[in-house]
Amino acid sequence: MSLPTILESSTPVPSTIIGYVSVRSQGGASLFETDDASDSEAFYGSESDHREASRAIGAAGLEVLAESRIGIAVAGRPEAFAELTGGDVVARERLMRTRSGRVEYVTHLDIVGDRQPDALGVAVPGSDSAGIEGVVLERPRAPQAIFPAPLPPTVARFHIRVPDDVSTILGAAEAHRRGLVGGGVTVAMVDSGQFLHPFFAAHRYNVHPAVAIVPGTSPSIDPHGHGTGESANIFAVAPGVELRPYRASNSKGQLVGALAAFVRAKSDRPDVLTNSWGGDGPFPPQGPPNPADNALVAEIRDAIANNVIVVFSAGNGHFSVEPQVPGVIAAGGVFASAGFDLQASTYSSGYRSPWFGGVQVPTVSGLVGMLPRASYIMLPVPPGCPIDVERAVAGSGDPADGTISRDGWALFSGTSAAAPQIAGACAVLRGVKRGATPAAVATALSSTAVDVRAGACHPRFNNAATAGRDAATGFGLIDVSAAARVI
Amino acid sequence: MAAVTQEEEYLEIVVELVPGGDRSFVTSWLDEHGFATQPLVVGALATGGAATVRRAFGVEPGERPPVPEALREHVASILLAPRKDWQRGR
Repeated sequence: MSLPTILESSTPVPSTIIGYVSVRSQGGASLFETDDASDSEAFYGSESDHREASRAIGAAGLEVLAESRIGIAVAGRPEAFAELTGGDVVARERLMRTRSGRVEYVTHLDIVGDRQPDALGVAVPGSDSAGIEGVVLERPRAPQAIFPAPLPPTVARFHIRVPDDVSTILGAAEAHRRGLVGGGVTVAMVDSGQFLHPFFAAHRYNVHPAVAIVPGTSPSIDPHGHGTGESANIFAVAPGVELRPYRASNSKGQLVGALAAFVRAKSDRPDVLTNSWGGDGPFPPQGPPNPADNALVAEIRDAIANNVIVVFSAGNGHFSVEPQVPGVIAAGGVFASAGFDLQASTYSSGYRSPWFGGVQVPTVSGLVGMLPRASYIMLPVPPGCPIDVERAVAGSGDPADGTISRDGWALFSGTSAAAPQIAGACAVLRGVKRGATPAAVATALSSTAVDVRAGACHPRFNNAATAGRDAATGFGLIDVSAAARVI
Repeated sequence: MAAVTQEEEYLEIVVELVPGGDRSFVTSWLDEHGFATQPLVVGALATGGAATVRRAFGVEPGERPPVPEALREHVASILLAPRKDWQRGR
């Protein structure tokens, strides 16, 4: 496994940037092009070039911090650097050895444009910036964006890993060998955000920068860890998809923009829209769904009517309207042991819908752990995020996951994991047959699922897994390769 | 999109139109009162901070906003979208 040296970054460009403007060297060779910088006087600028450079710096709106015979230290807004150089300031992630001695990605700034050199952080002036031979942006002197290891740590507890274990158990590995990886298919995911974990870069997964829904929040931050971790399940099943994350969380990691994010994601017309969230209410319910949920129900139905495959998690003991909406693929849970013995997950919701005739939750199932905490799949998360910290210690009668609290890996799952696994399966099927309707995809997954006949779902509902379709696992555990043969 | 500080509580408000209600009129009213809007099948989604909700509807977050007089001809109901959560253990 090798990591790309440079990655695109969704880290916001800071509002103030420090840089250095090199005045044209009297010695003839540019400070940025020479192999021999031993004679500093050769890089002195003439007085007239200094005046020209200062004039251009001022005209661009940059503030002079300090000056020497060689150059001028400046500070200012990204737009001012763009004005001076004719390029655009962007963030990049560069793989480098940090002070801790580890090889990690560190956020750098660069100026890009038609005339700009490839060297990271180095720019040439725009045509009106006489007297200047180059501009360099301040490089990070200390780690700014420490990334964790791309491979998961080894822990003693039984668990499964992404991508290989999940891919193997769900029958996706065979489909991958046949080239069925979801290439050209878009999967939108409404969740807590998407951290640029090196797990994704190392596997060359195609992750779009996230769209931040809540004003004032950063698209490059996942304050909770849920979205980053669960999204790895998509790629385990469909490594060729294009993931479009929609961050619906506020700065505290709370899900405050679910409806807005769903509507925004839907308007971008993805092939698949996966959702590992929902509400909760009494079961059995005391009446019809909350009228305020009618808008979301209408949007879900409209997405499906417009050929978007919509997946919702069934819930981890929750009872909510989203997975019950007719046409939604509701993702339940099956636990696979090391010997591939299958049983219904005690963590997953399962019931016949009291609101929509003929609807049963779940439709089909993915891989989910068992009560008390469903600690099952080793997933990549932002280092030190709440999931990373919470799972590193014992809780709710469940032992610690064996990772450390700031290593960027944690053992968890839930139907939040099943939904993206099933979304990945949907993407593979859409890749096989571009025109496949949501109903056709659901039928292919249902008709080929592995029947699960052991165990029962969450004790709140306590439905047993039996032969054929049941309210514990739906039609059973998805088999991606089998579904790809019948779509 | 209207500016909302991170500290401010972000709210989603579903504005359901009456049949034949003037969507552009309603959206303009919401825009003028500081909300960001998105079209919904049932009408419009207005998003903004708690202060915006107070100013526009005269209610505190968590209270059901009344339909303002100016919108009564076009709007059937105004409801706060129920808060959702990540699917964690129950």
